[in-house]
Amino acid sequence: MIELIHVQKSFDGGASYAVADTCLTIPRGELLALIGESGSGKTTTLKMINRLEEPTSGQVLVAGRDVLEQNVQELRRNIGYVFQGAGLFPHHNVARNVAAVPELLGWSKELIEARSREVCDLVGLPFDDYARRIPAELSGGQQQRVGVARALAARPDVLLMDEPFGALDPITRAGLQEEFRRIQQELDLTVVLVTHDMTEAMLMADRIAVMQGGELLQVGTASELLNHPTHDYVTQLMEMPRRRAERLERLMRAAE
Amino acid sequence: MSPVLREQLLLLPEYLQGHLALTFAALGAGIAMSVPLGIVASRSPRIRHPLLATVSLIQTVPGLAILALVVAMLGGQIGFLPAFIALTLYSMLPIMRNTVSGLEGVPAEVVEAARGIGLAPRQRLWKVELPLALPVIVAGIRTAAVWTVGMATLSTLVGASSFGNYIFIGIQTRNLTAVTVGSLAAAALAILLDTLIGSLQWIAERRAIGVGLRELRRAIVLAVTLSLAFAMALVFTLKPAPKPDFIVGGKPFTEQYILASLLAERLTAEGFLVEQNIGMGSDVIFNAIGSGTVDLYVEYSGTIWGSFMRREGNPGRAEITEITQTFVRERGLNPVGLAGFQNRYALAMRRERQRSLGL
Repeated sequence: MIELIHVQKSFDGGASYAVADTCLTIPRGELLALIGESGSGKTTTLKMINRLEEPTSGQVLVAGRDVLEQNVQELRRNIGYVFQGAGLFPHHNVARNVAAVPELLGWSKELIEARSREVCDLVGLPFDDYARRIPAELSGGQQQRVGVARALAARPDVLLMDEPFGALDPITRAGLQEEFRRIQQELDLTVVLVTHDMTEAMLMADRIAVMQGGELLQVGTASELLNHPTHDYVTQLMEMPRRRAERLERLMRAAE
Repeated sequence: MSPVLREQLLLLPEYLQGHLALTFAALGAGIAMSVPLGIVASRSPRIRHPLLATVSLIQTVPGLAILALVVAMLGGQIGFLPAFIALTLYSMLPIMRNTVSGLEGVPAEVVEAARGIGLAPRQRLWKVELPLALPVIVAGIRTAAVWTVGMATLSTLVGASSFGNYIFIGIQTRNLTAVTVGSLAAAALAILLDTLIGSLQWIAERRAIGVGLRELRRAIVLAVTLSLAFAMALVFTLKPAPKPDFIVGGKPFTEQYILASLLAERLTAEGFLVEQNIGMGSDVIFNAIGSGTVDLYVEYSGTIWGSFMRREGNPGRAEITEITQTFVRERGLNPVGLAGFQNRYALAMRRERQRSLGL
């Protein structure tokens, strides 16, 4: 569904590479987590998929078509995007935020209303209760639910998510993560999720791609990364959730 | 009501019309130019600096000097046009500056979200950036409106009528009622516009955080439309002003008011339609008669000799009359005749002082 072929990105005319020679194939219906520290190139890689950034060299294919050969607005309207901190339009209520992309695509009023109702219900915000509320009245978790609903409204096959749950409190985050995974599987969405939280990646993703300093180090399932890490950095990354889990288990046992 | 006050109030429609026409025209032109320029400036840092520096520079020139400069640039033309241009230039800074800072204040993540979901640059501007920047832009318009109302009083000095006519004529003729009426009228207009635009700003603020205010908005839009319609009606229906046969000019001091009125009365008695335009400085009025915006006025040979010709010394009355009349003729003007009076300088002092100085 998404293919990155020897993709590179330099912001300084080739002196250094934010993303260096990256190849990656994401099949339909997969949720891939891109993980790494800030500056590892994960967000830049994500943004090259819908041309918020354009590759310096190499090719990005979505559904078999080179993204650079498509109208950039059309491309973006056909790919859902969930932003860090939701990025809702503060001057529009929930209904208008959710309707943003269908409106751009010229859907009829009835169709937009019906679809908005559907996606709001899907993300757990009853349409009749929330449609007229404004972003400032919503909690962070509710805002991000609206962000997900907006990304899904135009029925995209592909969804890009840039640390969507990073700014939320742990309880809200855990709830949304589970819910989103359910939605993703239900709709058979192809998702690229950028995160710096290995626990999140392990809990949500089919496969995990580890990036460091612009290099894609290893791509694999959680168990592949655990059992056959190709780099020390990957080993370190996988250690952390394991050690925390073990500690938690000891604490829980002691408490019983 | 005192007869003096009534006399002044009878002039109110004419001056109000002039003042409103100037203010609205200048503010409209100011908005039409400054908002697009502000948008361009906010897009390109390379343009922003010189552009804002230029309008700031205009702003630092005193209002009266701007008026005089515009008159000079128009080759001496006086009246509505130079006042309109000067006021427009003056209104540009707050609107443009606020447009730039309003657009810059739109949160970066909102702009990125707009890009990311597929809004084209123009759609981003109209659907996201401008609505969010609007409160700040309207605040700039509000500032500009108050400045423009204030500065419009000065346009009397370049021959455009406004509440300034009350003030300048009142000061020269020691008519305190006229000064008071003019000042209060200008202040009231400024407060009214400030309140009106202030309510628009309030609506824009509410809208920028997504509050609909459907009912209230309709009411306020109606109020604004009505007052604008009222203003327009005043400006246009009150304009009977048939073209006069003669425009008599005058400088802003008592003697000139009398002279202009005498000329006007005489012409009116002959059956001509006469308009008086009084309150211009020497250079302004001399340029005005050169460009045909004033038909006649009384000038002083001494002023022509000293101020326009920059000559010194005193070769005697006959010679000065001869030379100054030639000077005037060379400029395509017609010196109709001598007024039959002269202004002389005299020294007044006590007799003892005269004796002690040996005069």
